[in-house]
Amino acid sequence: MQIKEKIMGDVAVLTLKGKLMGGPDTMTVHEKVRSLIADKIKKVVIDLGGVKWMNSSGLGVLIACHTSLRNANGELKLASVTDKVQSLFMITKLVTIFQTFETVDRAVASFKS
Amino acid sequence: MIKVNKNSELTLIIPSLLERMEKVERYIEKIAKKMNFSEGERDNLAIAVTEAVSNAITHGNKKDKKKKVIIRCRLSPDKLTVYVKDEGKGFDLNKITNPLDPKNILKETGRGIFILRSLMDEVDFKFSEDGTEVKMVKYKKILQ
Repeated sequence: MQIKEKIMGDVAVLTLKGKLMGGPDTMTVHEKVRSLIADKIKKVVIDLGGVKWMNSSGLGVLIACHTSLRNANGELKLASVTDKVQSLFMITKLVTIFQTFETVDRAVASFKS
Repeated sequence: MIKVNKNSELTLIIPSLLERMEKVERYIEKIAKKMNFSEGERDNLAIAVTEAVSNAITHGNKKDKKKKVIIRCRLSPDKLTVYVKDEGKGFDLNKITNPLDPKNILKETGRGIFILRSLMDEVDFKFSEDGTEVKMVKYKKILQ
């Protein structure tokens, strides 16, 4: 699993590529978000366009990112969620927790509206 | 080369290392592809099996790399049955919380078994002195 980071103004975009299935790299996503919070960047978009699927470990990491940002008065938004991941959000009712956007640009723009 | 004959059985044994998850994923994907499961069904199988193996490594074997996880696949013309066995002491199924309950929705863990049951056609647990085994069955869809 690869993570790329891009800063767009006061918004960080983390682009993930691979599968979040509980390997050691899964936790690095949360570590990255915590490091952004430490750097006072509290608006984060995670681009999931390159994540074909994830298991409960991946869902847990997204919740950890959501909670860490919320506790720091920040916000997490998800972009380009693939069909399989969206269906997991549906069956676990996490669709009620995560804000999702069709594209990264729309997710970034939503912080300004 | 994987031959899909009646009652074919394949076994993968891994140490309790989360680094081996990708190997497990490739293994199950290869078998499911050979059995002509659709892409969606292959993804569900991979999610469920990596879920079960992750649970076995983390909760069953407590990440003790000396302990093994055995992934046994029984290939039949109409279904794939996957057994994932650890060396742990097991757990009480009645104590598993409902991850859909609003008070649990923000918990980072506790969705694994719920996801297994959502994605597979049959899921059963067997607890014994020498470990816990989860049995998962995926039937092949009959095309009309």
